[in-house]
Amino acid sequence: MSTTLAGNRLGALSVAGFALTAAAPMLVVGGVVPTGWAVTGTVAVSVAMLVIAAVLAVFCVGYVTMARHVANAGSLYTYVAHGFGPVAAVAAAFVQLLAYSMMQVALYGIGGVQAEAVLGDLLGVDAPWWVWALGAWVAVTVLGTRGVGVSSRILAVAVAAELVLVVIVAGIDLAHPAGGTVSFAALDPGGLDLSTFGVVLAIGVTAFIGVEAAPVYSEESRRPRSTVLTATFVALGLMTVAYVLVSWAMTVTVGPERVVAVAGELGPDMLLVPAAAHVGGDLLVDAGHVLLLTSIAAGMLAYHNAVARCAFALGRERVLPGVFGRTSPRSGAPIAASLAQSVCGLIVVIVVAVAGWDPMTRLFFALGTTGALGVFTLITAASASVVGFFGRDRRGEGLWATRLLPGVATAALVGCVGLIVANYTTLIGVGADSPARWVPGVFVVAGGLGCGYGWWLRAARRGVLARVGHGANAALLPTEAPAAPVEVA
Amino acid sequence: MSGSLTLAGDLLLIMLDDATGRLRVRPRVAGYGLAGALLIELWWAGLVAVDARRIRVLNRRPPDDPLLRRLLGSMMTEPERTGIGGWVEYLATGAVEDVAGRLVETGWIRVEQRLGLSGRHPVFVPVDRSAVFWRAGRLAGQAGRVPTWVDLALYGLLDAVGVASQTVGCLAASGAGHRLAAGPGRLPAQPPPVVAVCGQVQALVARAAISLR
Repeated sequence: MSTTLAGNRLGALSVAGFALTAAAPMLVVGGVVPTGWAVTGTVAVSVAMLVIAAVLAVFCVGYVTMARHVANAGSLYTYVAHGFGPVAAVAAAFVQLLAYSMMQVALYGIGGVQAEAVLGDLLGVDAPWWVWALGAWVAVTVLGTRGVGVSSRILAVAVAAELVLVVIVAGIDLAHPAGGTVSFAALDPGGLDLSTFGVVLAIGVTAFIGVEAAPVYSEESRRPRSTVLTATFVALGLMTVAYVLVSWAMTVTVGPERVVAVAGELGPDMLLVPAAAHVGGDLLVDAGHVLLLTSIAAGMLAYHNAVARCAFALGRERVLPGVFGRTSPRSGAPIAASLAQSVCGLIVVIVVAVAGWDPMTRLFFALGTTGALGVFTLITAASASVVGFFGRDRRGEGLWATRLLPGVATAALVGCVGLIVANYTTLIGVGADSPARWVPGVFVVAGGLGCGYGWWLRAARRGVLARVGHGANAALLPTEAPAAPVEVA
Repeated sequence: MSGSLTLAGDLLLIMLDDATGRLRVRPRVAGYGLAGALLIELWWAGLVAVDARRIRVLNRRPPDDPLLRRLLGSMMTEPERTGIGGWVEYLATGAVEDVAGRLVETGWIRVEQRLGLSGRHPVFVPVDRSAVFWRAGRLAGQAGRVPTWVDLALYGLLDAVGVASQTVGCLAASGAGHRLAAGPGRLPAQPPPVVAVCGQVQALVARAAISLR
C-alpha cells in the first residue's frame, strides 16, 4: 500500500493499545486473584491464569485468521453468523448482549462497596454503597453518550497508571520475599486440580476479556494479514505477564503457606498492604485504592461500550429496531444503544438497593460469574465457528490456523465451560442443591429466544436475516423492500 | 456569492450550523461525506466508473476544477487501488478543508480560527447566513416534487452522515411525507454509483461510531 493510503492506518502496537483499554489490571490482581485464593483455598491461581492464557492463545490463532474474511470482526456473534448461519448468530447475539450487560452491571456492586470504603474515608462522606454506585452510573452514562473514542482515551490513561503501580508493587514484593527465599509454589502446576481450575476459570476469564476486540481494527490496520494477529498476541502476552508476575510476587512476599489466610483476611488490600508494610507510609495504599476504583470504573466503561457496540451493530442490521443503529451526529456515539444499557444498569442497582441485598454477593459475584460464563460460552461458539467456516474451504489459509488449532481450542473451551458450570454454585457461594444452580440456564433461554426470532426473520423478513453478521457494513447490502419507484428529473 | 454550487459544496453548507459556523457532525464523519460527494462529482463528470464496490479512472482528461484534477491525479497514481471505501477513507483526510476552500473562493463562507479547549480550530462562517440556511430549505422543499438525482445524492449523503433528519427532515412538508427520506438504496431510480458511494460512506460512518479511535 502506498504511504498516502497507509498514512492513517494502524500498526500492531496501536491496535494492541486499543485492545488493552478493556484490561483492568488493578481489578484483576487486586480483586480477582485474592478472591480466587480465598475461594479455592489453593495458591495455584497464577498457574491457572497461565493455562487460561494458553487456551485463549490457541483460540486467537483461528479467531484472528477468520477475522480477515469477515466484516464486523470485533463482535463474537459475527463469527457464529459465518460459521453456523444467521439464525444461530441471532441466538449468539442475544447471549452476547445479556452476558456483557451482566458483566457491566456486576461492577456496580464492587464499585459501590469500594467507593463507600475508600471515598467515604477520603472525603468524609457517609453514604451507602448504592449512592456511590449511582454516581458511577451517571459518569458511565454521560461518557457513553460522548462516544467510544472519548472513553477509550480515559481508559488508556487509567490502564497505564494501573500497570505502573502493579509493576512497582511486584518489584517491592519480590525484593522482600517471606523468610528470605523466593518461592515458586504459585507457579507449580501440581497445585492445580480440575475443581480449582473450574473456579479460577470463571473469575480468571474476566481478566482477559477485551483481547477479542482487536479484530475490530482489521479494516483499519496497516497490514491486514499480520497486524491484528501481532496485536492480539501482544495484548494477551502483556496481560498474562502482568497478571502472573504480580500475583506470583504477592505469594512470594506473603509466603505460600499464608496466601489463602491473608487473602481471606485482606481481600483486595492484599495487593497493597504487604507491599506498603515494606516501604512504610500510606501513599502506596491510598494510591492503590484510588486506582482500584478507576480500574473498576474502567471495567464498567469497557463493558458498557461492548454492549453498546453490539446493540449498535444489531441495529444497523435491523435485527434490533433501527434506532439502535443511529449515532449522535455531534459525538458519533451510538446513543440509543448506550442509553438502553444504562437503563438496564439503573434498574438492577435500584432493585438490589431496595431489596437490601448484599451488592458483593448478589451483584458482583453472582452476576459477574454468570456473565463471565456467558462470555466464555460465546468464545467457545466463536471457536467452533472457525472450524465450521473453514471446514470445506480453507480460503488460502494454513491448515494449522484453520482446522488443527481451532479444533484443539474448541475442545479445550468446551471443557472449560463444563468446569465453570460444574463449579458454579461454589463460585457464587451457595449450596450445590440451591435453586440458584439453574441461573446459567438464562443463557439457554436467551439463545432459544434468539433462535425463535431468527426463524421468524427467515420466514417474514429474509432481507434482515441476510444482513446478520455484517454490522457496520450492513449498509452495503440491499435493503429489504424497495420503495415505490420515483421518477427522477 | 458567485459560481454554482458543487455537490460537495452544497453538502458542506448543509452540514454547517449557519449560526455558529461549526460542523454539525464530527470532522471525521464530515470528511467521509464530502469524500463521497467528490467521488460522485468525478463520476458525474465522466472521469471515473463506479460499480457496486469498485471505482476506476475512465477518462484521464484533466478536469477544469483544481480539486477534482488533484483527486483524479491521486487515483491515477494508484490504479491497483479500486475499492470505493478505501478511496473515501483516503479522500476524507483534508476533504473538509479542500471543499471549504472552494466555498471561500466562490464567496459562500469565510474561515475563521477560533480558540477552543483543545486549541485552535476553524469555523466556517457564512457570508450570507440566510443563503446558507436556504440550502437545506431548498432540499426539503423537494418533497412532493420530482427530485433530481443530485438532490437524491445529496440527501443520501446527509442520511449517511446522520444529519438528514436534523437538517432537511425537520423542514420537510409533513403532508406528503419526505420522498427523499427512503435513503440510499431504497429508491430504484437512484443511480447505482450514487447508491454504492452513499453505502460506503454510511458503512465508514458506522465503523467510526464503534471504533475506539
